[in-house]
Amino acid sequence: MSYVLRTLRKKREVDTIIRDTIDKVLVLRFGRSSDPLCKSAREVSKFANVVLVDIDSDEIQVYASYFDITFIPSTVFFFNAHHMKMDSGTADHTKWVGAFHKKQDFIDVVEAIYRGAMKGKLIVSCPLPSERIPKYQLLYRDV
Amino acid sequence: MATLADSFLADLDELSDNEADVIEEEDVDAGNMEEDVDGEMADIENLNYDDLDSVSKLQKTQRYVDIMQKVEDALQKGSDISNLGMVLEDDPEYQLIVDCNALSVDIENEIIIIHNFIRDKYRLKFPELESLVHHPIDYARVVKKIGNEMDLTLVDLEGLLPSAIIMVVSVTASTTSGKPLPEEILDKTIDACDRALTLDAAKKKVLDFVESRMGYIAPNLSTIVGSAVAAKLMGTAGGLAALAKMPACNVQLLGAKKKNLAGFSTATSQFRVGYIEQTEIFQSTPPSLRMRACRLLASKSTLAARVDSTRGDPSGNNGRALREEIRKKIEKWQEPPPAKQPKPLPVPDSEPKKKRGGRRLRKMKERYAITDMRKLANRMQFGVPEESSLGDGLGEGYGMLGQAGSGKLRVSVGQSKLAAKVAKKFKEKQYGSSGASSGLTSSLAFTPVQGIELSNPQAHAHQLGSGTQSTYFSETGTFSKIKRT
Repeated sequence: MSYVLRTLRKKREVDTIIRDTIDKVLVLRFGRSSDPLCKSAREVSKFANVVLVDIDSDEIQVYASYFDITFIPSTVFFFNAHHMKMDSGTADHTKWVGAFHKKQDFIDVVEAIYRGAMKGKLIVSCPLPSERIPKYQLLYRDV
Repeated sequence: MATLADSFLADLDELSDNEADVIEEEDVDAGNMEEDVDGEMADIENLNYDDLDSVSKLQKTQRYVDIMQKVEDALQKGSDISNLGMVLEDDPEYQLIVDCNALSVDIENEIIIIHNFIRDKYRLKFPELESLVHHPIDYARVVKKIGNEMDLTLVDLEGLLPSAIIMVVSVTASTTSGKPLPEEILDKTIDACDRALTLDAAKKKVLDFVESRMGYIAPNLSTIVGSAVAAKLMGTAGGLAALAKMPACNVQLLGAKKKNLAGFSTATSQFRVGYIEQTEIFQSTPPSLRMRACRLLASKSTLAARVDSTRGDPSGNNGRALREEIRKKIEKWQEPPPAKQPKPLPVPDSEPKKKRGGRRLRKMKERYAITDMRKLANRMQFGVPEESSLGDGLGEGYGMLGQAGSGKLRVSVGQSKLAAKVAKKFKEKQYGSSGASSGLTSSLAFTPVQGIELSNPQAHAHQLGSGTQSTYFSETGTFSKIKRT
């Protein structure tokens, strides 16, 4: 079953897709083209839209700097054009840094975002236990 | 065994019932029925008479002789150049075939009568044999072979019966309570056996003849099930018209053998297939689909028989089309199911949780329901400070629990609503018992204000129980019976 994730390379594409995804979680995966997320995209497809954003393209650098993306892969969640934050016990709530340990973890995270978003929240807490959350350290630059 | 005789009679009645609508053969059947009844009655009387001829008359009748003669001639002639130009009913061959069908049914009935005769005679010698060997012809053969022999090891039953049955028969014979027969009775019995066997041979001949003409009589039916099975079906039903009038479920069961018990489990027996079992289509289907195939075959062959009985399609095209349809259906059953598509997960919280109800859930909820004690503790009397567990307002308050003058001395486990309904059913039996719940409760209680309080049984009748019970709606009552005026 080959379901290739849609890859975005232009700023305009990213804009339209954020605007056009209504009532579904938009998962923007910032990373390289070869990404092992495609299978779970189908399962979640009823309430989420998974999209790959090619971080090497020039136009996307705007977004990369806006979201402060330094680690590959990083995932940003949107719902109805609102940026959804997730508190996973790490320092950065605005995005999910790193790869997911298992497919089910990804599905859990997306579901938690969906439930919170349907209730009207803009930040949700992470349902995963801390072992499954990729850990990282924030290094501040020029601060 | 009266029950076996009754079951045989019942079978005869069933066969006759199926043909009851056929006008042509109704009087023949009526004649047969009378003959059977007479034969049976006469048979019982004839235990003293011992005369075979008064029991079995068929072989002497002119009709039998005539038809057998004609069948012989026809078989000698070989396959006839069928005269398609003539209307079927006028064709003498067709008439012969109709007669053959009727005759084969008669022969069968006759065989059963003779079987009863043999059985009654042989009962003195070997009573258990009739329950071990069901088929009349097999029984006749076995009786002929055994004769008056007491020791069954000298008798070779090989080829007459399946080996398992032979074994059972030999074992039973060694412990049988029978005695050797006197000479005349033995002769008569052997004579009856011979007659049964000749009748059987005659029936076979008749069936062979019908089979050879099958393609001409019922082309559609023979295309589907094959001419041998078609001939057998027609013979058992008593004619093409009779077969056409049968419902398909009966056609499926025509020729079904009776269960052979002899101590074997019936879990492995082939269920409920008759002559249809011998058709080529049935034999070529995998065993798991056989029941469905049998039903399908029976229904399509009934349709074909109906077409044939009205001569709607003499060329047999209808039969070929039906056969093709059957083949296609059986193939379709054998197709593997379509591959399963993995479904995406449902949207979270889109499907509301199914709330269940019912008696079981109510009983479960009762375990966590608020008890009367807790209800009493939650309420307070006006102007009266409540007692508390640690005294002076500290700790948990007791509310109305244990207050003087509340009517009840002890708050026992309240009856649940469900239990109340059940108790109400048996309340007629319980009007003798007093209100005390267990033998250890006393009617005295110590209250803080007055010291000792006695329970007043009459008070219960007036009070509405504890203050927790509803004052308007009864917790145990239902609607009273409203009579229709």
